[in-house]
Amino acid sequence: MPILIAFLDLADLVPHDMKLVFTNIQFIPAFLNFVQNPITASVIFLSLIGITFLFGRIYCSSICPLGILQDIVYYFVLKINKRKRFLYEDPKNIFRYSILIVSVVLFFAGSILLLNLLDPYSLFGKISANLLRPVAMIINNGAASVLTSFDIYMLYPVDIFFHLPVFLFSLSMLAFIIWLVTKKGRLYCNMICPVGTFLGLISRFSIFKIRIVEDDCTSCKVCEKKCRAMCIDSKGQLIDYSRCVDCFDCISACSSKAIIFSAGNPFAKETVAKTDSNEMKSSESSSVAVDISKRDFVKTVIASFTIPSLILRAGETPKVYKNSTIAEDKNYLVTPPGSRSIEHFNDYCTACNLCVTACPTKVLQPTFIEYGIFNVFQPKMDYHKGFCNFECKICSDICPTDAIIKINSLNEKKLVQVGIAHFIRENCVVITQGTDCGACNEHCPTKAVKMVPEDKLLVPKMEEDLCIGCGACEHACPTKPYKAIYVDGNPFHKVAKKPVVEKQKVIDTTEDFPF
Amino acid sequence: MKRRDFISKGIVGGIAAGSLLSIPGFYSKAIARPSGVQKTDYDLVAIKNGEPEVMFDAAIKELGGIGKFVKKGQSVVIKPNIGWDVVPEKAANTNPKLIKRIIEHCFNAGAKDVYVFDHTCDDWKRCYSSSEIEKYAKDAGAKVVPGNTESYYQEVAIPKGKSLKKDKVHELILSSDVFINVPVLKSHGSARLTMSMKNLMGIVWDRGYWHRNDLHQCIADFPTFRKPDLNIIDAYAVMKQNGPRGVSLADVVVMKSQIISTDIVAADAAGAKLFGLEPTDILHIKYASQLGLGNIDLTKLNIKRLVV
Repeated sequence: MPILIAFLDLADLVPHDMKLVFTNIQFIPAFLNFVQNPITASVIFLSLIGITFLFGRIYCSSICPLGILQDIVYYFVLKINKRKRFLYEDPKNIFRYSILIVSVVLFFAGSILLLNLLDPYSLFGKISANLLRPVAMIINNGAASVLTSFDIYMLYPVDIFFHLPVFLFSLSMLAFIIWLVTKKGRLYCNMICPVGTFLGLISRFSIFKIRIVEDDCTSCKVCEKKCRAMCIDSKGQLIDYSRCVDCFDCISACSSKAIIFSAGNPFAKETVAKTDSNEMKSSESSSVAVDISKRDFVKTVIASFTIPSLILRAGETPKVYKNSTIAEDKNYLVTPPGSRSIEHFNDYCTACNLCVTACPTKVLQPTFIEYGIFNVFQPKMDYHKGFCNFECKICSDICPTDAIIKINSLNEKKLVQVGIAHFIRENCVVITQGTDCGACNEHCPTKAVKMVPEDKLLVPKMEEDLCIGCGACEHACPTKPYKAIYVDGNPFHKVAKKPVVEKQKVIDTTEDFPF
Repeated sequence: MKRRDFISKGIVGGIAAGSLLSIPGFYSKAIARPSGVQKTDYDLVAIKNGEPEVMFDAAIKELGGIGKFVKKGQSVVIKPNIGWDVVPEKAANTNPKLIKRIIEHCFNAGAKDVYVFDHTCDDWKRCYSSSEIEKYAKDAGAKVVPGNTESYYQEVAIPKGKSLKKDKVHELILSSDVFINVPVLKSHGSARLTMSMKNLMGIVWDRGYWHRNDLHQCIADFPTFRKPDLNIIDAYAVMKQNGPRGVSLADVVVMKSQIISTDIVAADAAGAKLFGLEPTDILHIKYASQLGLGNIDLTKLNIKRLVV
C-alpha cells in the first residue's frame, strides 16, 4: 500500500525519505544495493535473507507489493466465488528453477533483463506507473476541471504521457497475474517470480514453519483447499515449504487445530516435500558458477542491439516560419544525473519507473528497446517532454536500486554533465528568419549557451565546458521539425566547469531618474 | 489467456485510455472584456529609494489610489513574473512582498476575488514555491492558480497583430474584470529586456510560436488584443546580465526603483532608460509604439518622479 501511494503521489506530497523506507526493503533493490556496496549496504539484504531463514517467506506475504496485490485480487475472488477451492499441485520445478538460473546467470553476465521483467517490485512499479497512475491522473484531471468550473483551484490538471509498449506489457502482466490468481492462487510467485523461487530455497530450511501435527490431523483437506500456494498435501500430511508464502490461512481454517506455526530442526527431513530436493541442489550449484568471460560477450551483444533514439516531431507548419532542415545527430541516450554511465545504469536499473513518477518536470520517461533489447522499459531523459530542473535531484534521492546513485548536494548535481548540447546554426530561427529568438539562452541555467552579436541580432554560441546537458535549451528551442540545439548523451558522465561569475557594479540609487 | 483475449484487451484498453485523454475540460467560454484603461493625473509614476511595498503605497496614491482601477465586487487577476525556480534574492521573479501589497490594496478597494498566476518556464509548482509568491499571495487572501496545462487556455483572434494573428490565452485573463501586470525588470537573452510587454508571454500557451515568428513583433502584437489595466514594473533588484534566468547573485544589482503606468509602452520605455538602454533600441517597444499602443517618447509624458 505505501508503495502504491509512492507511485500515485500526483502532487508529490509524501516525503521521499518515507517512500524510500518502503522501496529499499524490497528484495531486488536490496540485492542490487548489496552487489554494489557489499559492506555498507548489506544490512537490508542480509536481514531479508535472515527473516526468511527464521520465519519463511514473510517477504512474499507482507513486504512484496505484487504479493499483496495478488492477495487483494484473491480477496475479491473469494467475495465473488465463496466456494473457491484449491488443490495440491506438484511444484513446477523445471520452470521455476530455469527462470531463477537464467536470471542469475544473465545478471552476473551483465544483463538485468529478467529481473527487469519479472522482479515483483519492479513489475508492480511498472503496473502502478503506467496503468494505475494514469487512471488516477484522469480522475484527478476530471475532478480538477469540475472544481475549476466552480472557481476552485485546489486540484490542478497534470500532463499524462502514454507509452504504448510499457503500457501493454503492464496491462498484459496484470491481466495474466489476475487470471493466475483466480485459477491457481499464488502461482506467479511459485512458478515465475525469481525472488519467490530464490526465497523458496531458503524457506524450506526455516526455523519457524507451519507444521502438521500428525496425531491431530484427520486429512480432511480443508487446509489444502484453502492454500493459495497449493503447497499442502493433506492426504500425505506434507507441506512444500519452498512454496509456502506464510499467509497462515491453513492455521485458521483447520478445525482440529492440527496446524501450528512453530520452531523446529530446520533440516528435519520429513517436513520437506520430497519431490524436488535433487533439483534444488543442482540449481544452487549452477547459479553460483559464473563464467566471467561471458560478461564481455553478452555486453558486446547488448551494445550491438542498442539503437540510437531519434524522436521527430511532425507538427503544423506555421505560415511565416521556414522549417528546419538538418536532423539532430544523437548518438547516445541521456541517463539521469547520478547514474554515472549508461553502463552502470544498464547494470542496475530494473525499470521500476519510480523515478519516472517522482520527476517533477517529467523529463524522465520510460523507453522500450532504445537501451537495447536486454534493457527494456528503462527511463531516459526525454527533452521533448521536459528538461532536467536545475534545482532538483529527486531521482537520485529516490532510486531504490542505486542505478541512480545518490548525489550528496545540489551544488554537486549542478555540475554533473550528463550530456552536451550541440548547436545547428542552419536550423536556428535567428539565421533562417533573421529575427531574434534566444529561447535556448533564456532557459540555460549555466549560460553555456551565449548570445553573440551579429549585425543587429544575437546568435547562440555553445561553450561546451559549462554545459551540463540538462536539455532546457533543446526543450525550449522552437524550431520544427528538427531542433536547432540538442543534447547528445555522455556515455560516461563528466563534471562541468563552474559557471562564470562576473560581479556587477553597485548602483548609486540617489542619482536622478534617467528620464 | 488466449492470444485473442490479449489483443482485444490491449485494443480496448488503448481506445479507452485514448478517448479519456481527449475529453475536453468543462470550461466556460469566456469572452474577453474590453480593457477600460483609466484616465489618471499622471501618465507615469516613477519612484525610488524605498522598500517595494512602501514605494507602491506612495506611487499608487499619485495615480488616485487602486480604487481608480478596482471597483467594489470586481475580480482582479495579477500577473507577476514567476518564470523560474529560484529564490527571491536572485531577482528572476517579481518581488513577493510587492505582490502581497498590491493584493491588499485590491481587497481594500472591495475586490471580490484576486487571482495570481503565471505560465512558468521551470516546473510551475517549484517556481510558485521558490519565488515565495505563492506564500505571500495566499497570506494576502488571493487565489493562486496554476497556468500549467493547455486546458486553461482559450483561443482568441488578434486581428490587429502583424505576426501574431491568434493565440490561446489563460481563461482568467478573459474572465477577470481587472488585469494588473507586475513584471520584474531584467536583462533578457531573447528580447534584450523583459518588462511589461514581455511579461505577457506568460499568459499565453504557445510561446514557441512567438519565438519562431519574429519574437519582437509578436510581443508588440499581443497588447493589441488586451492591454493590462495597470503595469507595475518591479525594479527593486535588477538582473543586469545573464537574464532572464540568471546564473548567480552577482548578476543582480539593487536599484530600489518602481515604475507604474497605464501606458504599457511608456512603462517599458522608462524601464529601458532605467536599465541604461534606449527604448528605440528594444525592437518590441519600437514596434508597439508604431502600432499606436502607447507613447515611446518620455519627454511628451506627464511623469511624476518620487524619491522616498
